[in-house]
Amino acid sequence: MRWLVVLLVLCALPAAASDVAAVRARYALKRGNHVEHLELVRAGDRVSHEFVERGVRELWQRDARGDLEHWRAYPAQGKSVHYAPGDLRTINLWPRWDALTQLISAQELASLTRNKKNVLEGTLRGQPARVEWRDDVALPRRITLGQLTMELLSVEPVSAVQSDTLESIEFADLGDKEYDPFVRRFLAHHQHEHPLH
Amino acid sequence: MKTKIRKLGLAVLGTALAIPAVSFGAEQLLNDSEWTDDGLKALRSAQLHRLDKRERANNVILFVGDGMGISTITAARILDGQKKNQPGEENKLSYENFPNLALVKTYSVNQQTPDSAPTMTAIITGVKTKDGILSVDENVVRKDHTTVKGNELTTLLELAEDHGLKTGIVSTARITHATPGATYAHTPERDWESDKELSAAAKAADFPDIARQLIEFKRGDGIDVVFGGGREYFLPATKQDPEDTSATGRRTDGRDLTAEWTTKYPGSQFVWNQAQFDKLDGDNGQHVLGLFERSHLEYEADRAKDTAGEPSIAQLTTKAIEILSRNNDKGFFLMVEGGRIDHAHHAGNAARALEDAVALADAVKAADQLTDERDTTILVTADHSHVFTIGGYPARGNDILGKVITLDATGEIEDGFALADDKKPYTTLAYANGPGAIKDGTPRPDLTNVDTTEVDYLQQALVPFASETHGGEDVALFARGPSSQFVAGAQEQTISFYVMAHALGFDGQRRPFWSLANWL
Repeated sequence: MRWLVVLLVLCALPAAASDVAAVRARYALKRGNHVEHLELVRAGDRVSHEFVERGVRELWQRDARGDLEHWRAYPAQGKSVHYAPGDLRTINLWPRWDALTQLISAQELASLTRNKKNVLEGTLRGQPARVEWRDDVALPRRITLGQLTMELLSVEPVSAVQSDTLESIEFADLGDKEYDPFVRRFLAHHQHEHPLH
Repeated sequence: MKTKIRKLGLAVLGTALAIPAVSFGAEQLLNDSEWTDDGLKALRSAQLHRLDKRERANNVILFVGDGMGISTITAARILDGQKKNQPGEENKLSYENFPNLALVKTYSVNQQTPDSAPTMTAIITGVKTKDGILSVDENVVRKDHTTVKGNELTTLLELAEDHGLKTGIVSTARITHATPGATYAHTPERDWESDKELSAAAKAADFPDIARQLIEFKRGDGIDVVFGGGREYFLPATKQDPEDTSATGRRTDGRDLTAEWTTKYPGSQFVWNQAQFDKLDGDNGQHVLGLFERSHLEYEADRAKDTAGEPSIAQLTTKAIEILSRNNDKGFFLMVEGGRIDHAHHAGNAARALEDAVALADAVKAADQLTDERDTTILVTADHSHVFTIGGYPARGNDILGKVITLDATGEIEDGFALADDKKPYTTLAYANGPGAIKDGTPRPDLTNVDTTEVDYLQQALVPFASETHGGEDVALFARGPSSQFVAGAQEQTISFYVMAHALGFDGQRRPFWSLANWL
């Protein structure tokens, strides 16, 4: 499901302020007949994306210096993989904060043409794009990117982004844990996501 | 370099050395070249060191570059030289000036290509064992705590404590990670770093996790200096981390092992940032525990970005030696691990691996300068290698992180990048497997406009793996100081232990380095 990653990592753009409203937003992601659900929760310097059907929760945290930490949590397996800032730099995974918290960055929004209030159109990553934007929660109501659509189902206020209590494995340690069945599955999946140079 | 033939009377060489010279005959024709001068100097140095028969040391310092195979040393040497605006190939890392060297076979009892657990066990106990277990013998079943009792292997650090020496451990990885862990812990599972990772059966039996084994260490008067990462493995899940205040400790048993450390050792300290580290000295640094990150320390390439500041491995080594040397007439044993070379290689990121390898060489240089080779033995080795290669036919001085620029038929540097059979440029450095591999029929990426010298660049690889793997070839063991003359030939990895134990007299009567016996 690389297209999900592509959509969430339209991120090579400057970070926005972190003072967006703390909310839980549920989205339906559709590509043809295939439908998945994404739950975004953001508050302060934390944001999580839960891919409901896939049982994966991705948590991002930003510190005062702008350094990112990242966890990929697999609750059904009781484990998560933690990426320290150095790990993220090493694998060139350094998304912009506004893209994480708003799903599309301010700069990408600015690259689109505003056809009417809160509706923007243009081209993103070489594909025709249409974004309906909700200023009140700083989130897209609906994104159409090529064959993919992403639609906001609900949004509600929250007080915090919850941490998980799963057994956390350092990304840097994965290479020494290839005997571990979870690590083997994780690496096999991760291999297909890794960007090439 | 232009080479001429010149005459050289080797008697002159012998006279200058005041020792028997290597004899090629009364008169010999040697090439008139700077290479000849360098070669004769190297020979002279080797002759001098061959006369050094000292076997007993007061102190032993063991450096382990995790995953620092020979290709890593070569590439790090070139990178280090190029950072000094030299071509690089002729450069020497600090320990490459050591007089003695052996090749070391790294296989474990059950692995052709090993992990860090059995290899460090071999280095620190003199006994090879199986994958994933620390300082216990091959009779132990992985993850089965009931098989440990009676199968523990005594480590050199424990022997040092038994003999009244001061001891220290330094690592840029978590101090509970396999390499540092093997110096003090005995466990059937290298991953049992805190109680959270223990099996249910081990937890029920109160089998101590690795962090607990460090704090509850019982030999001698306890370990004197511990510098590394892994703070969260020592703090309870209910306690806020001092540096990353949004995070907590990891332990589920509610124990704050950092507090237990300072309670156990009167006058001891727990430090976690650069400012606290800077205030330590030999007088106030008794039984000091320094944990500078929740997990591993930063890569050297990223260290300047750390929130609370983080000492370099050279600074950690220097401070450890200063503390261990102060008011100490019995000597010390110190283990220093460059733990992140391995991690960067696993990520397929040569630049970070090499920066950390250079940083380790800087730490060795600091130790070399702080100690006297007449009384301090220094070993530098690796636990295992990686599938990291240096290839193509780059011209002399070509950027080691760059794309290959080669020579033309006349030996002059060609314009433009050398091209592979797919008509695309390629880098000098590559991996036999790892995340930089192509897959699913994707063509090899064209590197023409890619800056491969950028620190985040991941080198191309052959076999696709999300995590690059260890390599199985021999690693190097460099040595200087008493007993280092026994570091020679192709050896089992256990040789390090026996050289260190012999140097410290643990295999017989311990004698101070100035003993007449040292000269016999």
